[in-house]
This record gives sequence, structure tokens and C-alpha cells, in this order.
Amino acid sequence: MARRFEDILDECLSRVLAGESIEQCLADHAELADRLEPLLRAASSTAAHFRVQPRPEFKAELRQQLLSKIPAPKPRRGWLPLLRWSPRWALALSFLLVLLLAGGSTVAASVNSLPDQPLYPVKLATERVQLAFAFSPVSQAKLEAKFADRRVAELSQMAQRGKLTKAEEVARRLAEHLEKMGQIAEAQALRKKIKDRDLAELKALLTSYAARHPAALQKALPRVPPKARPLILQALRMSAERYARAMRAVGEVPPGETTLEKWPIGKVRVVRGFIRSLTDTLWIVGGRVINITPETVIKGQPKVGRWARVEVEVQPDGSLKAKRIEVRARPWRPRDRKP
Amino acid sequence: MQREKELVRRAQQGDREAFAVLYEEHFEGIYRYIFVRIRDQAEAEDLTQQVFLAALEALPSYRWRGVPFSSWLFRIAHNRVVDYMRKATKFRSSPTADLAPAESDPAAAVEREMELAQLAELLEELTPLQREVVSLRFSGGLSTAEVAKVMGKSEGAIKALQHSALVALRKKLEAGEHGKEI
Repeated sequence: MARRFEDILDECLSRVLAGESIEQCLADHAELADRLEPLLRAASSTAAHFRVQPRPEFKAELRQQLLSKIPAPKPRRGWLPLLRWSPRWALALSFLLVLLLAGGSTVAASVNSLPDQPLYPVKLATERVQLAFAFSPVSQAKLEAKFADRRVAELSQMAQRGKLTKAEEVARRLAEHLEKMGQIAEAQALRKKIKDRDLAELKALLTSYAARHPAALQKALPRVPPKARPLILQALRMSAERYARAMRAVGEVPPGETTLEKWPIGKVRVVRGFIRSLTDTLWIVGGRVINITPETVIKGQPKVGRWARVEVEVQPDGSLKAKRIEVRARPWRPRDRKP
Repeated sequence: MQREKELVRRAQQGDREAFAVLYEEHFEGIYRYIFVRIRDQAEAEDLTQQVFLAALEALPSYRWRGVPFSSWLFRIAHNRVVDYMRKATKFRSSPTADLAPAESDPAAAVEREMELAQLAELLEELTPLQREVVSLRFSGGLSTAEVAKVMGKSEGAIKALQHSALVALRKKLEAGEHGKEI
């Protein structure tokens, strides 16, 4: 039975909307080309008008809002669920097989491997297994932070060697580790079920890595080729933001930060805090990422570990542009504060 | 389809990563569909937020039963748009007001605004059902089968509506090309 014109039009439309050319479809239905062509051109023109781009910051904010509303899954209780077949056990079995086939020395040797080396996949597989065996959320968060630390070192190495594709892959993995670590910290804080000892451990760990990552990335920055600089700066920004978020979630407020509020666009606000990181275009002060421009007025001798009072202007994308910075060796006392 | 089913199952169990993947896959389609229907950036953002929040809340009660997740999500969006239009018609006189999303380049913003104003006039020529099909198909990126699920109609009916909408759009576009006002 001959196909109806509407079916053929629909098929061509699907193909054109998926990126095929109109001509390709017309060639397949030459007998109907005269009728199909004007309709497909009208469809293509209309679809082009529809390709509006949402604001990326709106997309990111909504994503964060939604994810923060998802409660963490309930932990399994008792022995029976542990005995059930699950991906965790499947992973463990795979690891045992890898150990048998490759040998323990291979796994040990892989720990120091880099993304451009043959043993690197073994390193990643070993990390997955370690995560699978981390039963408490705090252990998981600690491992995610530890692996993020490894990714920072690998990112610096790959960027310094100009291996941008590998560096981008590592940066993606780094983002995943930091995201998961932040999610675990937030979920634990929200449920308020974390033990005091675990909380203290998590806080200490976050504080330590929150200082180490910017320092390592900043150290790498002058050594990387210019084309790799944006990648390092992006990682620096991301690491600062995710650690600040995770630290706030566990009640460890970065110096100078007392609020989680979002600042209104166009307003000038003051950030006071410890200088965590410095580059020529970006500073991390009090857990906030601040963009430095040629117009920024800087008073004092900037140095990591000193304290800064920064007047920032909130940009339409939510980022902060520094207008004036005053650097001090000591933190501000309340009576030093300018209105 | 199987992959989406698995993602939905995991999201229902509280897996944030799975929900994040579903969000990434459907955000632009939902936003575009809403924007094209109401043509106001701030309102489109507000409705997009409402749609995803409603979806998150209703997710535990969602059952596959032959209705793909995308159709389910767009049905929520469709209902929100219908509610909005019902309320907005009382207050809005011009459908082309506040059309364009924010552009950093003023010239591009003006051009975009003109394009959208033209498009708004084009869509006004269609029947409500034709407009819905075109919006879901072209801006939401849904297949005919998915559009049929959203609108509660047969695939044949959607294809017929799509055909008649394209005939009307073609006439309007040709009239515009020949210097006539659209």
C-alpha cells in the first residue's frame, strides 16, 4: 500500500530536524519532491526561529536548586541487603579478576600513572573499587576529595605538557569528584545525622584540600602554555566554588563569609577574608572567586595567606568584579570595618 | 528508551546524578517550547522552573506505562502554558512585547526581536492545535509519537495537523518574501 503523503512528510521532517539536508530527503522521495520541498523549507525556516538559547546561569541555578531538593537515598540496613547481588559486588568481583590477571604489582604501579600512560585506566578502575567499598558517606566524601586531589596534580601535568585533550578529560573528572563530594557534604549536613567525630574529620579534610588545590593550580599556571591557561583558571574557579559550598554545608564558613545569600546584580558588596589564591585575573578571597581587571585598584602587597577587603560589583552572570582591594597582614577587627 | 527508563528509575530512588542527566537532556527543549509559546524571557524562566519543580515532586508517582518521560514532562509544561495563557489574556494586549532573550550585542538584540516578532505573527495565523504541534515538534524537539502522547491524540491526527500547519506557514512565509506584510 502506498504511504500517505503526511507520513512521508513526517519522516522527512524528522530527518531535517535531526540535521539531514532537505535535498537528501527529496532525493529519496523524488516523485513527491515538488510538494515536499516548499513545506520542508517552511519547516526549516520556522525551526531556525525557534532556536532560542536560555541563559546559562539560569540553567545552572535551576539545576542546583533542583538537585538540592533531592534527599539522599536511604542507606541499606541489616545483612540481607548486603548479600544481594549489586553493582558494588560486581565491581569488587571484577577487581579481583583484574588483580588475578594483572597482578597486585600492576595495580600498585598504576597509582602514580598519568592520563597519557598505559596503566592509567587501572588507576581509575582501582579508584572505582575503593569508592565501592567506602560504605559510609564520610568515607565516600574523603575518597572523592582524595581523587580530586590526584586529578588536580594530573591536570597540572597534562597542561604543562600541552596535552590539552587529556587535560580536558581530567578537568571533567575533577568536576565530577568535586560535585559528588559537595553533594555528600550537603546531604549529610541537611540530614544532620553526621556524628561529631565524622563532621570534624570532614571539615578538616575539606579545609586542607580547599587550600591545597588552589595552591597547586596556581603553581602550575605560569608553567602552562597560554592555550592551557583558561583550563587551569576554570579548574581553579570551580575548585574554589565547590569547596566553599561543601564547607558551608558542613558549617565551616570560609574566613570573611557569614552568608549564603545571593547578591543582587549590579550592586557593590564587600568581601573580607583570607586570600586563598592569586593570579593576574582571579583571586579567591573568603571562599569567593573574584575577577581582577586592569581597572581594579589594589592597595597593599597581595600574597596568599594575607587578608583582603575587596569591593566587588556583582555582574549579570553572578560573577564578582573587583573594584578596589585593600590587603593586610592581619584580619579585620570589627572596629576596623568601614561602613 | 531503555536508557531513559533506567535513568527515571534511578532518579525515583533519589539518585541525583540520574536526575541531573534527565534535566540536562530536557532543559533546553522545555525552555524553548515555553519561550516560543509565551515569548517572554522572564516568564519563560519562571514557568520552566515551575515545570521542573513539579516534575521533581511528582516523579515518585510517575509510572512508565507506555508514556515516555519526555511526553510526561512536556505535558506538565503544556498544562502550565495553558494556565499561563488563560491568565495572561486578561492582561496582555501585545503578544510580541518583551520577546527577545537578553543579548549582549544591541544590534543582534534588535534583529532577534524583529525575527521573533515576525514569528509571533506567523504563529498567530495558526489554529491553537496547529500552534501546539509546531511548538512541541520544532522547539521541544519531540517526535510525532511523543507529541501525540502529550496532546492525547493519535499520531495520524498529529501528522495531519503538522501538514496543515506547514501549508499555512509556507503561505505566510511566501507572502512575506514577496514584500507583503506578515
